[in-house]
Formats: sequence, C-alpha cells, structure tokens
Amino acid sequence: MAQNDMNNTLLKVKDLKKHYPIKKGILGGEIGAIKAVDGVSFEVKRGETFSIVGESGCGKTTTGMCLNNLIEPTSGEIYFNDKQVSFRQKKDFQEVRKNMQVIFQDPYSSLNPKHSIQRIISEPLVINKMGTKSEIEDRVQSLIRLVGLDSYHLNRYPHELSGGQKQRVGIARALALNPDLIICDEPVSALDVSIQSQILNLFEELQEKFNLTYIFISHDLSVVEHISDRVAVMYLGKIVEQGTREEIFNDPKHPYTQALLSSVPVAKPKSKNNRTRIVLEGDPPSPQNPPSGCHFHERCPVKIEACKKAYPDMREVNNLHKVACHLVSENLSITTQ
Amino acid sequence: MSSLLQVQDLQVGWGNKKKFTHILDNVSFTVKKGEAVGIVGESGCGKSMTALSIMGLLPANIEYDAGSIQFGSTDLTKLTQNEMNKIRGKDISMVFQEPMTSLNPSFTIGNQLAEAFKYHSNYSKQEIREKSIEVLKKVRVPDPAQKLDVYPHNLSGGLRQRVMIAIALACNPKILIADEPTTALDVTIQAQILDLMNDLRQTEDMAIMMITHDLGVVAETCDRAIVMYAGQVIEEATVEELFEAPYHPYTRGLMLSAPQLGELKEKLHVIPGTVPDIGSVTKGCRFAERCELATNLCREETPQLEEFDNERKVRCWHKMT
Repeated sequence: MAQNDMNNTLLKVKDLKKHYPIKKGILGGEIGAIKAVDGVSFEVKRGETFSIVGESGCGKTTTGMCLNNLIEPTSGEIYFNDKQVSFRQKKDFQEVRKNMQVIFQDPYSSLNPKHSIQRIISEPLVINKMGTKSEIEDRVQSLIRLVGLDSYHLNRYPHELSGGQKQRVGIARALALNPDLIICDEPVSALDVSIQSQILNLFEELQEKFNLTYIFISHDLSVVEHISDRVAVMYLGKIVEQGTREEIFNDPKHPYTQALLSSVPVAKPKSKNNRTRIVLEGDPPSPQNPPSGCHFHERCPVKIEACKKAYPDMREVNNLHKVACHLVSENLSITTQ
Repeated sequence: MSSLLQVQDLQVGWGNKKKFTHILDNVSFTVKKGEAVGIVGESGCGKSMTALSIMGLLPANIEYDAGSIQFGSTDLTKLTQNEMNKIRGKDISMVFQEPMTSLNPSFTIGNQLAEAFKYHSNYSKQEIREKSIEVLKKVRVPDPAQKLDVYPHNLSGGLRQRVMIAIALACNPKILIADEPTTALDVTIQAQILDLMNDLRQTEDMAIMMITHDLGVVAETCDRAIVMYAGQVIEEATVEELFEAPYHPYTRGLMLSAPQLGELKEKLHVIPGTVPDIGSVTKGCRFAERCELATNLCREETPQLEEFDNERKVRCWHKMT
C-alpha cells in the first residue's frame, strides 16, 4: 500500500443521502421514504484503500454507486480533487467518471456476453476518444497483460473464461482510462478462496504500480482487514464507526463493530480459539421504519436509556477514529463480552 | 461411537457404456452417531453432489456407477424412489443453501411444516399443528403459533433458514445434512444459525454433515473434516489435527490463501491456476498441475487415499508432515 501523499485528500463526501420515496395510491402520493443512505460523510486520501463494511441492506453499495452518479443521490456534496461534483450536470460527472472507475461484484453479469473481451476492454477508450484505432489496440494489449492474462484471451467471449479470469477483465476495463480512484464493489465475494487470493494480490500490485486509490466495499471482514488502510462500518444507512485498520480491528468501540468482528468464524480449532462470540438477537430492522434513537439499540447488548431517545452524534475518539455511540460520548466503558 | 452412515468407494457420473465421466470418484467416508462432520472444498469439487447422492436426489442424467452408501443395514443406492421417500425427511434430512428458493412461496410455513408430518406419521390435524409449534420453538422462532400462517416472503433470511431447519428436524432425523446453510446469510445471522445448530446437535442427539467452502465454519462447528478436490476425497482428519498440521498441499494452500481475522500477512499465499474440469485429468494426481511439490510420479501415478494412525487419511505422494 502506497504511503506517499497520504495527506492529500482525493475524495470528500459530506452528508450524502439517498432516499427512495414510498408511493401509494392512484395519485402516487409519497407516504414515506426508505433511507438507504442517510447522511454519510467521509474523506478518502490519495493512494489509500478505504473500505466500507456492513451487512446486506446497510447501504454500502448505494453509497459507492452514488459517488459517481450511477445512482443519483438525493442530497449531499461530493468533492473530487477539490472540485465539487454536480449531479445534475451530465458533462460534470462524465468527466469525473473518467477518473473514478467501478469494478462490480458479479463478473458473470457485469461483462456483456455478446462482446469479445477486446471490445469490452476497449469500450471506455472508444467512448472517451482516447486515440486512434491502433493506439487503442496497443493499449488493450498492454492492459490484458497487466492483469495477468494473455493476448489470445482478447478474441474470446466472457462465457469462455473462468470466474477469476472474468474478474481480471473487469479490472483491466477499470484501469483502461488510468483512473485515480477505483470503486470495488464486493470484487471477490463471487470467487473461490484460491482464486480470491490471486485477485487480492493483483489489487495490491496494481495499487503499488499506479498509486491507485481504492474504495473497497465488502461484507467479508477478513478480506477487509487484509486490504484496507482505513475502514468505515455502516449500519442501516449510517456510518457507525470509522478509523484506521488497526483501530477498527484491534480496538473496536461501537458494540455493533464488536459483535460483527466476533461473529466471523475463524479457521482455528476450538481449543486454540479463545474468543467469545457475541451473538446478536434478531435481524437488522427495516430501513423503511428504523427504530427511534440509535438504530442499533434494539439488538444492542449494552444499551442505556439515552439510546432509545436520540441518535448519537459522531464523536472523535482520536483524530481519525470516530464512533457514533452514546456510551462512548458519555465515557462509559463498553464491554460486551 | 458406532458408524451411522458409511459411504464406500462411491462413483457417480454421467455418460454411457462407452464413455462415462465421473463427478465423484471413489468417495469413502463414515459418519458416526451424534458426530459433526464437515465436507470442505471449492465450487465444483463434488461436495454438494455427495450430499445429493446420499439423499437420492441426483439430477436426471446423473447416476450411481459403483460403490455403496450403507445406512444401518440398507444400501441407499439400491433403493427405489418409494423406499427412499420413507427414509428421506425422516431418518436423513437436508437443509439447503438458499432459504429464499427452497421454500415454496405459495404455501404458508405451517403448510410446508405439516408436509413432513403427513408423510411420516399418523397425527391428526390438531396434533400436527401442536407438533409444528413445538418444532418452531426448538429452532427459536419468535412467536411460533402466528408464524404458521405467514408466507415465506414475510420472513427475513435468517428466519427462513430457521424454518428450513425446523422442517428438517420435524421427524427427529438421525442425520442432518446441511448444504452451505449459512452462505447466503449475513455474519451476525450466520453466528445465530451456527449457534443453533451446535445446540440442536447436543439436545437432539443427531449427526450433522456440514457442507461448506468456509474453513472457519468447519473449525467452529465440526469434530472431523473431509477435504474434497475435483471429485475426490483428498484428506480426512479431526478438526484439531487438520488445522494444526494439514498433510495435503492443497489443504495447506487453502488455509494459507484465505485471509484470517487478526492475522495480518504482507502477501496472501497463491495456489496458481484453477480447478481442472471434470474428467480432464485422466492419470496422476488431480492437483499435480497446481502443486508446488509435484514430481513426475505425481503426474503419472494416481495416489490412493492412505490411512495413517488415528483414522487420519491423505491422498498424496508427498504428504507434508
């Protein structure tokens, strides 16, 4: 992971919201909203890997897709390279998208089955008119080798490749325009363990080579611990804790983060494994009708009276480590074990 | 402990007399009474096919070729569908991976639970309802009486999986086969379901066969583990021994290449290449192509599953010690 330029902010997100209206009746009157993303703020520095973790439905993918307007956010501000991105101006976000590419979760459905690999990788170059035909061909040749495939793969179609190879094509396509930032939405969850490690290593090699910045969206905590510099934990549309990798994984403050970490099964026999597991009761609530106060309080093993009344503010534990929990703001010790 | 289920040299595949392709090749293992056995492997290694052959639910064009599956004194591969129906769901039952697709969306939970009782008992309607509530309580579904009248889409993924387990438990099976029961679930829900299965194993005194790709799940729930690769069993050991010192280079590679919580590594171990296609390796060890220890012997001669002390087995010419 590249450490230079660590203080250089590449992306700044302020109070990002995405609300889906719930409509009812013939006239389609709005009767409420599903708050998929509800006031998310974070900064990403150049050259780092910033991970967003959380369970299904917590809004991590929606957050990622809002950043380059693949989903139009309801409100919020996004600054890329110190310039505010406007969601309403097509020219504006098209320019940003050149520098902000996406790798999708499912390599089976994110490559057009009717197009050859050659065409899939060259498409971003053609759309953005990045040179003559032969220049583009040369660029595609070098890209395919960069991701560990051979030039004969270019004449194939997606169904002829394995899952790991398809994900490599997805990576080559994302790299085509030399972006600063790549949003990786669960890029390895559809892959087998032995293939997953090949792709994760490729991510790290490419980051070193091109000083890339990643926003890594994942539900797999062990993968996130391996690849991230900083981590944000989301629950029901809000970030509940963010900090450096060491802070989140070695000293989690929010009870949800603690429970999440303790739920991950570890490949060690029981006798060697002295962790106690915090088993949360119930399911995550629906974002249509979130509980009052702290969204987590119904499942929280250490809740206090204040948790039912108000949503806790984001408090700084230290410079980078921030937590939204009443127990932290009131300086109570949180030990869920 | 006595053995409950004994799979012996099982061969399953498709084709005709001229050319027969094996999906499962000489699979042998036993499940003892009350024991939890994990079957681990990557996609396409034959772990789900093993479960389906035990259940007698093989897809239409796939058939048994050789070997036996002894359950008590009966050989399950020899039974007709009718005879199998009497065992399936009663003595051996199964929980599938996707709770969203394995429940019928157009019937209520109560209806689907009752089906198990209707086939395997003579209870009256009222008794079935009482028994259904009882079994839902067992899997800790909140408000069980009310849940009988709702449809699967009203329930969350975790609750649906609990209902699936309840259906499987309805007739007190001797073996529960769980095919990736938590793969489709979130980690906090996965922890709940694994906890539940661990408890049920104690209270119901049944054996569990856990099929999974996640080594962590095996380590936390099983006594013994069987590792499969390309249709063969390549290693079998107690969980303690397996994680302490895997003998097969593939098992070792698998453990090293998965990132582990709390154990940071600079670079992940890589097993080069991909799993070979079914039937593409005709001689030698099926892992030889990707193995760092492979020699000419591995490419020419097929290794056998050899037993070492303490029921530990490995299929490798150069077992690691």
